[in-house]
Formats: sequence, C-alpha cells, structure tokens
Amino acid sequence: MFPLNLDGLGHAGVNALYVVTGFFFGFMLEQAGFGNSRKLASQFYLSDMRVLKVMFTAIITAMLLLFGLEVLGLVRPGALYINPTHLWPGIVGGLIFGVGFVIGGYCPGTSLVSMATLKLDGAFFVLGLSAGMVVFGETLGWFQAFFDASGAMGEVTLPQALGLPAGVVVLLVVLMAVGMFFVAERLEARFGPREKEPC
Amino acid sequence: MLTPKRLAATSAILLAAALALLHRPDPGARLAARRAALEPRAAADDIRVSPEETLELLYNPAARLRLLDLREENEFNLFHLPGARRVSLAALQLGPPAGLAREDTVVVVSNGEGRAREAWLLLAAAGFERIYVLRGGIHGWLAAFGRPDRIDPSLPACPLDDCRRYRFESALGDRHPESDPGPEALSGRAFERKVKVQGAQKRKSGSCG
Repeated sequence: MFPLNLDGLGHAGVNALYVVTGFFFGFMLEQAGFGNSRKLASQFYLSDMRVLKVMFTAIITAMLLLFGLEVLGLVRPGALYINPTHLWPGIVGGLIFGVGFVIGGYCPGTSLVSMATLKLDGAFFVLGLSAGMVVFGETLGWFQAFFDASGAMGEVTLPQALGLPAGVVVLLVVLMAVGMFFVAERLEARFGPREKEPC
Repeated sequence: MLTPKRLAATSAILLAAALALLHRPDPGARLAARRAALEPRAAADDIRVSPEETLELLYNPAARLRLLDLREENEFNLFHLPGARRVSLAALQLGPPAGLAREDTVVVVSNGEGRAREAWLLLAAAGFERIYVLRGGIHGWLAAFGRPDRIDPSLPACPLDDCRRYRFESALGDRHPESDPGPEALSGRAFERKVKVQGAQKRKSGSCG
C-alpha cells in the first residue's frame, strides 16, 4: 500500500501536495515555538530543551507508525529512501551546522518559518544560508574526495550498523528518547527561568 | 501519579515492545542463515556477464533485462547504464525492489564487483534465480565502451575494485554516449553468452509433444 503512488496526481498535483505538506510542517514548527531564535538557541544553554523534546517526539512517533505499518504489511521497507551515511563529512557538517545554529539562532527549516512570519533575523539567516549553499555548490569539487572516501558507509540503517533486530532497535530508541526527556526536564528545572516568588 | 507525559511515555514503550515481538525477519536476516551455502555460487564465474553480453541483452526484449545499480547516488547521477535503477544494499536487505519479477533477467552493477556480489547474495536468498553480476562493473563497462581517458589512475583502488576510478565532466547519467553505445558496438567482438533467454530457449526446443 505504501509508499503511495502519486502518479495519478500529475506534476502540478504532486507539487501542490509538496506545498501543502511544507505549509503544515512549517505551521507545526511555528506552533512549537520554533520561529523564535531565542527559544531555539536556549537549548544550547540548557534552559529550554523544547527542540530536543519536539524533534525526538516526532522521530519516535514517525518511527513507531512506520514500523507498525511494516509489521501490518502495509509498507514495504525496501521501497523507502535511506539517506547515505558519510560519517566524517557528516560529523564535520554537523559541527558547522551546530555553530551556525548557535550563532544565528536557527536551523534551515526554522529560519524559513521565521521569515514566513516576517521576522527580520529569520530573513537575514535565509540570505546567509542561500549564500552558503551557492558557495558550497560551486566549490564542491574541492571536497569531493573527502566526501567519497571518508567514512562512506552507504545506505545503512541502525539495525544493520548495530547488528541487532529492527524491533530491538525500535525499542531501544524509544527507551533512549524517554530517558532523554527525563534528563531534559531535570536540566530545565535547574537551568531554566525560575518562576518569580510571590511578594 | 499518572500524568499525560508518563502515560504517553509508557504507551510508546509498550507499543514498541509489542511491535518488536510481532516483527518478522527480513531478507538480510535470511541471508545470514544461508550465506555459507550461497557464497560459492556468488564467487563462481557463471554468474558474471560481460559488458558485451549485457549490451546485447539491453537490445533483446525477450530477455526482460533489469539493471540494478548498487552505487552511491552521486556516482549513479554521474553515469549509469540505460534503464538502470539505483537500489542500495540496505534497501535490498529489507526486501527486493518493487516490480521485480522472478522471470526477469537481473544484472547487478557496482563500480567493480563488491557490492554487486553482495546484492546477488541478497536476491538469491530472497529466491530470485536469474541474477547476474556485471563483470568488472562500471569500470569493466567503461573499459569496453568508454573513452580511453575515463579511468583516472590517480584515483585510489579498493577491495574488489568497488571505489570509483572514473571521471566525467558532467553528471549526465545515462545521457553520456558511453552509456548506450548501441548494438553496432558489438560488431566484430567475440564474447561468451551465459544468460539463457527464455523466448530463445523455447524456439530451440521445438514442440513439447
């Protein structure tokens, strides 16, 4: 049954579906408070861990739904796109991404949400992001050897990398997420803004 | 006290545990059980088809040729054979690609033969029988039909020749002339045929009475 065949929608229909999906994704980010750079950056000061909590809730919700559909035979896992792992380029890129996140207060998706709600800092972040994409695209040849040869693991999934059955990995990820939520709330209680004592 | 947060966390853990119990093993797990029996066949020469025979099969509709390309996305975008479909080993470990029929002739392709041989094992473990490995992979194809300067000796080699050693100026996929040199490229070339095309077999065998 899944992934759904969208051929019947035609080119314009598929593009319209992408726009609608993107709108709702952005809407949910805004509802979670991710259109505000102060709230986003405060996770790095351990005072507001909502980014970790919202993102990991989304990950385990999607994972459980997808895995449930697979168990029910409604989705064929071989048909799903798996992002290739390039370990060292991923680590270097992740560090650059993280530094950009702390400095700018946004990640790419949330900067677009911020710009859509007419915030000036979001619009500037998108300008910087676009410039970075052009520079990276034009200089890709310089990094190609690093990209090809440093920790290229192919399209590997967690169960394959860990050598564990998929069901066990799903359970471990849920347990990890619940543990992280618990720790995140403790950190917020310690480093987050304290409620004012009544006079 | 059972707060909504605790209820959600407990539900997620119970659901994950229930799904883990109900999940069935995938072809990757089936291969792990049959690897010892299948590996000698994967190493044998009779499953390796030459670039010339592959080109001939491309122009024979009765062969029902399906080319599965195991290389990385960037390598596939750079250059691939006509009609080739990119699949990953990870995806094959989860199940055969959609639309692949048992009677299709499947040729698996990688830069050399490393990933193609692993894909052969996975498809064999999944019950497919008409599976072949492109001899020498894309490097072999370019040696047969490519420009002489395509292979760059400065690019590092790796086990089973599965690291990219070719260079293209543009990522044109199957629109490079070397992707489909046409059947005329076979004239004057002698090559061994290993794939038995089902339609041709029927004609040779005559009546079954």
